[in-house]
This record gives sequence, structure tokens and C-alpha cells, in this order.
Amino acid sequence: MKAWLARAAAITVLRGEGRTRIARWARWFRRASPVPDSAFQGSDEPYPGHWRHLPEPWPPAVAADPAVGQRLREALDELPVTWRAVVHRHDIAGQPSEDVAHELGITVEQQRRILTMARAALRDQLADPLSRGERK
Amino acid sequence: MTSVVLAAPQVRRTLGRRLLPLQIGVGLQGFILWVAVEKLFQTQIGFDAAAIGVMAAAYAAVVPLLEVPSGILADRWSRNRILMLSSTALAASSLLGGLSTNVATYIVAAMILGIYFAMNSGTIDSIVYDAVVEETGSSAAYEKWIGRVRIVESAALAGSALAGGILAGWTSPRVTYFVSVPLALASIVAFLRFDEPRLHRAAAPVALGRHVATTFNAMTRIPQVRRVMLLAAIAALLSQAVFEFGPLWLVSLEAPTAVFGPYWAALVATLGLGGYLISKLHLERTRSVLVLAVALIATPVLLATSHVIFAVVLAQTALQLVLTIVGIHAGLLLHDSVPSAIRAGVSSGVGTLSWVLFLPFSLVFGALARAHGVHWAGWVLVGVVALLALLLAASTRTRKVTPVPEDDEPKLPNDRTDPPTDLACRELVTLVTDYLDGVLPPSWKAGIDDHLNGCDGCTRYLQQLRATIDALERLHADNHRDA
Repeated sequence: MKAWLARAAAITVLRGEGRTRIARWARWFRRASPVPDSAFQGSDEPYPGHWRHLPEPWPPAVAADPAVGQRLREALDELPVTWRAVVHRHDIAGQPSEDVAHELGITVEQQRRILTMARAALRDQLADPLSRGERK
Repeated sequence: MTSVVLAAPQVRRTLGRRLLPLQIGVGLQGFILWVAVEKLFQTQIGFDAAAIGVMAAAYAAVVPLLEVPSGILADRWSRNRILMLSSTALAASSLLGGLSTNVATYIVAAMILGIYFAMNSGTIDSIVYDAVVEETGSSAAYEKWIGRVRIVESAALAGSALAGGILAGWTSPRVTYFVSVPLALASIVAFLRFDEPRLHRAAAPVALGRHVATTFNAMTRIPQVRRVMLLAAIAALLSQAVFEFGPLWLVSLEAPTAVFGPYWAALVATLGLGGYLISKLHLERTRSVLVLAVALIATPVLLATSHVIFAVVLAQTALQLVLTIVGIHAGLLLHDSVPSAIRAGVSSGVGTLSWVLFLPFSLVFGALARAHGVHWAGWVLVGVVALLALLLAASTRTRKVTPVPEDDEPKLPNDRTDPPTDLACRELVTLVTDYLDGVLPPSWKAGIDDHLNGCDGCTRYLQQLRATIDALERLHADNHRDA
């Protein structure tokens, strides 16, 4: 049964990436993209890479809605620690990217990538109730 | 009221620091002392070659069944806890294996070990991947970090092989099983100290069916892909066969216990060495590939004929090294021949194919080795290796594989201007922060503006992102008012 260890290692080397089906599948679907790939058309659809369904429209003046603010706070708490830290500093407290990156010990490029991912995740969390019209 | 800004975490941690407990846990899990002397112990409790073949076939059939459910469980529940469960299974298997006095109980231990492998495999990869994304915002550093985890793992494997051989020489092979138990349990402590990524919990559901269909079509309909897949799967099968049945040569030659540790360490070291050597060899040249093919055939012939322990160890190590190199080479060929969106899926097809082929192979090899001796069965190895060498030689002629066209991007019907050729909505959403921050080169910015002019979806998406950012800024104002 040691072959398991060996095979695992050999296959890993072979692919230079993930190890099992599940990991590979999971990664395949969730290549670090701010919007899941399933939102876009696949290669066998008329317009690959374009929206499968357009994002549902939001009502105007969303930002001023207290319910949205509350929803946003909850969504913030769900974010990974580093993402939350970047959003707090950059978008809420309004610090420049360079300062945020320096304080957190990451590069400015990483800071922007995280911001892209985190904002998309927050938009996604807001989008659900907003597009369903559940807001007062 | 708690201020959101004050609640901001004071993060100053690096990815390396975060992953350290995971690395330690992986190292402890990999430190399985009995692996190197397993065949020796199995022989002592009544295993013959055929029984080993049956055991190998049993887990080759069972574990793929467990892999998918445990992977889904990891995604839905907690990957960290799945890792702890896998450590528990490893400890239980070592304990039961050590207590075994006959074939039947040992096969049960092997199946419990199968649970460990099913739970463990892939879980680490996905954890590392998500941790990298959480700390850097992209997956670019994933290969670097998974590589480091693998180095820790293979160092633990090689180290435990040496230590296990020495320990078995001093005491008995049975003791190595018992000593492995606390090491496996210690890895649980390490995993407890690891801060698990939380990204996967928010992952959106995905359309599995279409991806499966695309992948399956590529694997079955394109001849080059089929051939390269077979090459990769047979390389993996043979590699597995050497690890599973190779020690039988030493057992049949009555090699001293002390040989098993270094022997095993040499075998696992070829995995790393092959990865290093592949960059030095020029496998795009026909001559290099032919040399490799000849080396491939020579080593199993030596295995089938030689009765010198040193020659057998050398031949197996050389064979494993060449197999590792061929495996990596096949992986590169495979990646070249399929579009990126289905690369992972096709790779998983190789894994499944190698399992399916290994199952009958292990039964046949085990039965032949019992009936006629391991040297005679070695000729089966020669046959399969010859097939691999042929496939390898054939691959040089088709080196210029025609890639399946990557996504052609038809223009949106209402596009008035041409965006950059590869800028679909999918790419645009990854560039929005750069766009909003104004750090994009002018040509890119113009491309995005053009795209936005013609694309309602992206225009709406960008508006909603702006609204989200506005709402975030308001949180700041709220906090100040509250304060």
C-alpha cells in the first residue's frame, strides 16, 4: 500500500498541480477568479467568456439603504481575514493602496488582487437580496 | 456599538507563517516508519506475492470509491477536520497493521489506510490553493507553495524510510508500526493549530455536466490526446508497480533488513530527482527520447535476470527515475494538447485510467510471481515497459501536437468597436480594480472602455461594484457618527 504514497507523489510531479480528482475539479471550477466561471458562457456556447445571464439590475440609491449597510457588515465578517483587512483599510478607511500593502506586509499588486476578489464577493452577497427585491 | 473600523483585524502575517502548521502536520503524516519494511513484515505474517496482489487490487478498487465522497465532505464540512480524521485513520491502520498476525487482519488495516489516502489526497492541495488566494488575492503562487509542501512530504517519506529500516533492524519490523502511531496522532495537533481557509464555503454551485462532457470529448475523440493519456497512465501504473512489487525482489533474494530503508529512500528520492533532471534533459530532441526508451527497456530486463541485490536495487531505482521523467514529460505533452479549461479534468482522467489498468495488472503480476517467482513475473514488467517505450518513441513524431483551439471569442452582436482580442467579460471582471484605480496601460483602459460601451452585463456589473464601494465608504461615515 505504500504505492499510494508513491503514486500520489508521482502523479503530483506529473501534473505539477493538484493531487486528486476532487482537488483538481474544485480548482478547475474555482480558478481564482472574482466571478465564478459558471457565470460565463463555456466554449460550446455562442459567446464563450461572456455573461451567461446578465447581472440582475439593482434598484437606484443602494448605497444609502441602511439594510444594505447591515448586510454589508455581515458579508464583511464572512470574508477571509486578509481580505477583510484590505477592504477595511482601503475602501472603508480610505487608505492609499501603498499604505495598506505596507501595513499588511503584502505587495501592492497582491493588495489590488485581493481587493478585486473581496469587492466581487461583497457585491455578490449584496446582489442576492437586491435582485430578488427583498429589500424594504 | 462596535466600530467596524476598530474591528479591522491587525493582520501582519505571511503566507509562510500561516502554512507552517500545515507543513508540520504533513511532515508528521508522511513520517510512516513501517512503509520501507512493509513487505518484509507482510512476508513474516504469511503474505505471498499473490496475496499482496489481491491486497493491492482491493485498495485499487476501494479507494477511488471513497475519494469523491470524502472530497465532497471536505468541501461541505471542513477540510481541516477531514485531515484530522485522515490522521486518525492512519494511526488506526498502523496500530492494526502492527497487531496483525495474519493476512486477513492486515488487509483490513490496508483498507483503513485506504480511508486515510482517500481523505488526505487532494485535501491538502485545495487547502493550500485557497490559503494562497486568501493571502495574495491570486493563485499565481500556488505551484510554488504546493511544491514546498511536496518537498516536506517527500523528505518525510525518505527520512522515515531510513529511520524505519534502522529501527526494524534493531528491533523488529512490527515495532515500526507501533512507533508510527503517536507520530500520526501528533499531526492532529499541528492541524488544530492551522487557520483553515474559508473561501470554499462561499463557492458558488457550478454546472458540472458541461465541463464533464467537454473533458470527456477531448479525452476520447482526439487521437493525440488519447495516446498521450495512455503514455501518462502507463508510466503511472509502472511507477506504482515498482513501489508495490519491487520489494518482493529483495524479499526473494533474502536481503538483510538494513537494506530496505536505504532502498526505499532511494526509490522515493527519484521522485524529486526526476523533477530536477527533467529541466536538464532535452526531451524535445528525438535522440534524448530514444536514449530514455533504451534505458527503460534495459532496467526491467536486468530485474528479470539478475540475482544480485545491489543490481536489483540499482535497476529499480533507475527504472523509477526514468518513469518519473517520462511521467512529467507525458504531463507536459498532455497539457500542451488540451485547452486550459479542461486540463485538470483530463489529468484526472489519466489518474483514473492508471487505477483501472493497475487493478488487473496487480492481480496478474501477483499470481505469476507466486506461481513462477518474482523474476519470472519480471518479464511482464518488461512487456509493459516495452509498450511504454514504444508510446514514448511515437510521441517524438507527434511532438507538434495541434492544440485544441482555445476559446475563440466571437464578438458580442452589438459590439461597435473591437475590444482587445482576448478581452471577454470573464477577463474584464478580473481587471476592474486596476481599471478603477487607473493603473492600467492606456491601450487596456481603452479596450475596457470599448467593451463597456458594447456590453450591458459588464456595465451593470461595474455600476454595482461602484455601488458596493460607495456603501463601504458609508460604513466609515456611520462609524464616525456612532463614535
